[in-house]
Amino acid sequence: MVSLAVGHLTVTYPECAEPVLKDVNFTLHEGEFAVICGATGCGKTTLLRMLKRELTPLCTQSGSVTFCGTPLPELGAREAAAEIGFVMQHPEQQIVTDRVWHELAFGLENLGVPQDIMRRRIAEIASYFGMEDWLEQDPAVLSGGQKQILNLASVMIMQPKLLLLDEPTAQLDPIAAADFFTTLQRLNRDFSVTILLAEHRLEEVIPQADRLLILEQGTVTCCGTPAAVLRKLAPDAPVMAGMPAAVRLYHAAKGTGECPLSVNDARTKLMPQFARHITELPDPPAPPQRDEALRFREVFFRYERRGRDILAGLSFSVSCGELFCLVGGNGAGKSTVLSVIAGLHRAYAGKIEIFGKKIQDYKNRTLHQNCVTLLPQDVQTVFLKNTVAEELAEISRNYAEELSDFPFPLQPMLAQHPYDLSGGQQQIAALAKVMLTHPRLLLLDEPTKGLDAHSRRQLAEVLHGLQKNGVTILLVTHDIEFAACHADRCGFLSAGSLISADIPTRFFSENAFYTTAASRISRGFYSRAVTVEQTAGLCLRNGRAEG
Amino acid sequence: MRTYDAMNPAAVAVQLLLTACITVFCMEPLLLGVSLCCAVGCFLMRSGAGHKGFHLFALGIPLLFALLNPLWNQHGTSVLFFINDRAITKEALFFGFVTGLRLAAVLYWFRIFSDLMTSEKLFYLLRFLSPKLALVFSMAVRNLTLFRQQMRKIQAAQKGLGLYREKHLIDDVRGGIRVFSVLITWALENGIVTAASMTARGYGTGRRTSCTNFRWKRQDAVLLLCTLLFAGVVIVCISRGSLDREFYPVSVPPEHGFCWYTAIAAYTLLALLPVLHEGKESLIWYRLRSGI
Repeated sequence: MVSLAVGHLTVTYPECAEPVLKDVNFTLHEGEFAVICGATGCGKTTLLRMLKRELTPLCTQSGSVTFCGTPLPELGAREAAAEIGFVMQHPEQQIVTDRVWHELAFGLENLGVPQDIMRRRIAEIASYFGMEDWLEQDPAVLSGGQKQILNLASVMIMQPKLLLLDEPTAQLDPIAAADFFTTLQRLNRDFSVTILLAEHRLEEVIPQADRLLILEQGTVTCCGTPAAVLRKLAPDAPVMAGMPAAVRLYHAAKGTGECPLSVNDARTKLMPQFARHITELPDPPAPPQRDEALRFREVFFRYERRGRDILAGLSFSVSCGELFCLVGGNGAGKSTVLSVIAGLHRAYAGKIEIFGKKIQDYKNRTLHQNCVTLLPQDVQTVFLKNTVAEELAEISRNYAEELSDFPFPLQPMLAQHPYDLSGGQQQIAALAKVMLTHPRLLLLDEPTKGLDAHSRRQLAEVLHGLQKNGVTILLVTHDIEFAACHADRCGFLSAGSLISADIPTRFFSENAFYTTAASRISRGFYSRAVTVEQTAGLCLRNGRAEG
Repeated sequence: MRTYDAMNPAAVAVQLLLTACITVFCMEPLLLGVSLCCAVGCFLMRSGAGHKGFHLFALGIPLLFALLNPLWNQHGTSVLFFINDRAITKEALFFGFVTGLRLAAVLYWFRIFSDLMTSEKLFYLLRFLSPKLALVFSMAVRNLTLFRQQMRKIQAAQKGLGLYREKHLIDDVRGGIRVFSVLITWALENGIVTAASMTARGYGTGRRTSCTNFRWKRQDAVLLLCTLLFAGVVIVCISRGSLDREFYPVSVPPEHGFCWYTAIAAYTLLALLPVLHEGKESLIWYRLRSGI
């Protein structure tokens, strides 16, 4: 049965010459799991909102949207609200009430469902999502992943037939995101809910999807099963950068046959296509010996006197001009390291030296004056003014001059409100603001969170540019692909101490579980190939296997 | 076992408020004494030992008032002695003691009320008045938490950027204003998403119902009926003047007639309702469990 049919949908925003969506056509059958992907600003959000009547933006539209055989405008108000569920990006802001159980009840209350039925549905849904233990809690104390599961549950409680999700995992760490996808897949399998998901975190999703839609500048350019769509996709298409490593490798190494979607597929079907004469790339030249920008020696830190140690005997050092990535699981103490260096917290034991000087010796504001700057995880908290220009002028009047060597053109965004910028642009604008304080050591907390592949690459370029200007960068991240591609060295933090630190090729090839998808694909075939580019390079140099 | 805490908040609130109100509007020492004893009993039953500071403070009030009142109050005829040519009278001493007793009893009742009535239960009561107001209240509480969190985040971020001079008052104030103004912007942005999430889940599609965690059971009805009955008796007696008492110029106790005895008995039962309830419940459960 057709669940959703979109026919010749064209949408134009007021005061815009160009339509955002041009002649979009597709149908979804009941129980299908479809993924839309496309670069930021290609119209994904607009498309999803056109399918949810309550959220349709002010615009002129032509074409039709039919839900289960009824045109969308003709659906009853309650039917439309209940049967089409919508989950948005920000976990925090979708929550309405101050108790988890009340949040679950909210949708049902709106529909006028009687008490007894509400109670039963809440109990049911809480047991299905495994959230009985936190029913009585205030949502503010939940983790981001739990909040997003709550948002999903409070939509599912209305028993929708179609679920629309707009980048639901953008603000989550990889483990919470994987949990979320698993839950989605279970919903799809157990209740045949039709799912339409817009995402740029595609590594886990694409192997599970029934259908893949590619949206480019407002038009659906490809639509079909993931394997078929990805096989035809041009290697230089903008969406390619966000595809799973297996897909990128298939195109970069010019593989033949069916396009692999997962690591397993790539190892069994793609890798045997290539010969194995050369199994290793030469090590990059060792960097010249440089002074240390930062040095931790046996540092201990805890938040409360009777609490546990968050940093327990942490020792490591970062050389001047280096880009050092600190990776590790949730609660390993990554963000704490940064706040200790930035002077927001004080270690109770051990020695921290910044540019050869003990951290205690930086009196008053000297630690922050032309020395250390911390860019927090939520970059919105950096902005205090109405435009980017005012934001920069706040720190220095002749910001244009001082930022002349900033490796990104800031001119187009100067007049905009910082909150109106895309996630990637916000990150770069915040970086620009921070650079005006002339830091020599830049601390970044999860800078790639919520960014698509293109913005991540842009951010990496900016960071490399700053490195060339002599800035040392310490970056804390969950994003191991980013670390593998762009770091000079990576460190693995676990339970408050540094387990290992090395250049990415050695670091990730020696890890078996905590490593990149490309490294898991190439393992056993080649050694020390941890990025798609390195693996593809080796494949191409070896050529195709004979027979 | 259904403890007094788990009873329906409406019944509990009516019981506690009526008990406390009668204490406020009555000056009969025996009734106040009963009220204080029952309140202390209920408090101990709920909170157990500990809270020494509170007990000391509350129980000290009658003594303190008894000592202080005669210093200001010259009424009364039975002079005990003179301080600086001021007469200290027996009546004034007694009046001070009774007033203190009343205050202490009320203090205990409200302490019990605030311990028992968590925010969740207050919302439930508010919902009786207006479901919409309750929703607004619930959202407001949530937003306050969010604001505080975001404010702390912004302040930490600004500190990490090193934009503030340390210990500089003008800087701190100016920084505070900027943070506040951006917080408003953030709240408005936030509100748009929340509003979208509300309409997406059918807010405003027609009549709403309201979900609560509390049920109305037979026991609650019994509790409410008992409360109203006992309180009714006491109030009727008070309005007939059976508990009126003169303190000045001479302390005259009211006539200890039928009405007086009824009022005291009814009030004792009213104030003891929590203890009686718990006693009954634990007895029943003790018997049930001993059958296992």
